[in-house]
Amino acid sequence: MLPEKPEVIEVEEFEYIDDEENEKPGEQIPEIPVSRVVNPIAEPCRSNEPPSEQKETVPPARKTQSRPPQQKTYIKYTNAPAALETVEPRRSSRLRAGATTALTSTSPSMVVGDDPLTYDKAIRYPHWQQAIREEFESLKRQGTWIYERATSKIAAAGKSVIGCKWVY
Amino acid sequence: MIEGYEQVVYGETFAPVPRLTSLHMLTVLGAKNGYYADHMDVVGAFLNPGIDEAEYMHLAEGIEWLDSAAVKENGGDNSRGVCRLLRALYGLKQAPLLWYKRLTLI
Repeated sequence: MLPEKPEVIEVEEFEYIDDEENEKPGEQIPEIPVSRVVNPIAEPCRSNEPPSEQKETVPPARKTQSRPPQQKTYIKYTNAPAALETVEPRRSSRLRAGATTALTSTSPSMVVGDDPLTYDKAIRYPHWQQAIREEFESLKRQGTWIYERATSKIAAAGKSVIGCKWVY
Repeated sequence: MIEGYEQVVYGETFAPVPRLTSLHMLTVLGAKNGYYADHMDVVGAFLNPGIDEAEYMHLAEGIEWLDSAAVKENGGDNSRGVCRLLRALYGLKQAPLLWYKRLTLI
């Protein structure tokens, strides 16, 4: 028996094609077998478990009958050939959980922010100035370095003077 | 951050780092045996160990407004001034090893 409320079908899952204009009057409209139509409504798939048994319950043959007028709305769906002739089990198109829990390059925490990349850009912002000053004071308090004049002594020791940069 | 890739002369730099699987294993063992677990973070860890040989660094950008002492030392020309590191900075090649040596003294 056909479902009483065919509108519970999620329309967006089907490619809806209105063939009404192309129909010739009195044309025999191929009807989808009942079990094939009822199944997704009576037993809505869980998105995680595509029903493997669904294909088996679908009879391969189509029966042909004239369209009952009171089921006009419903038959519009069955008349959409692209959606129903390829009888795939209804599968959710969303990504499965689990694949989305891992950190990827597009995760919010991994996305490159708008932090400045150079000192010249950072110094335009008061809060970055403040951060630079605090970091510098922290390094100074730790006694991270002592100032010296560049002399030939360094080169003589085989040492080069290394650059540094601020990282934000 | 010091640009350690400019370092030409340096010695040992290897520092052991645990594999994540080892950490997982420890966590599992702890959970199985009901151990108490704790964790900590050392802020600015690499700044703790002293440095065992002389490393020289150009002055940081902004030194003119950050530290007047630097200006005095280099005679008013910051581009000629250098500083000798007393502690490992982030980016120094041997910084992880120095931190490891310091940590294992505890």
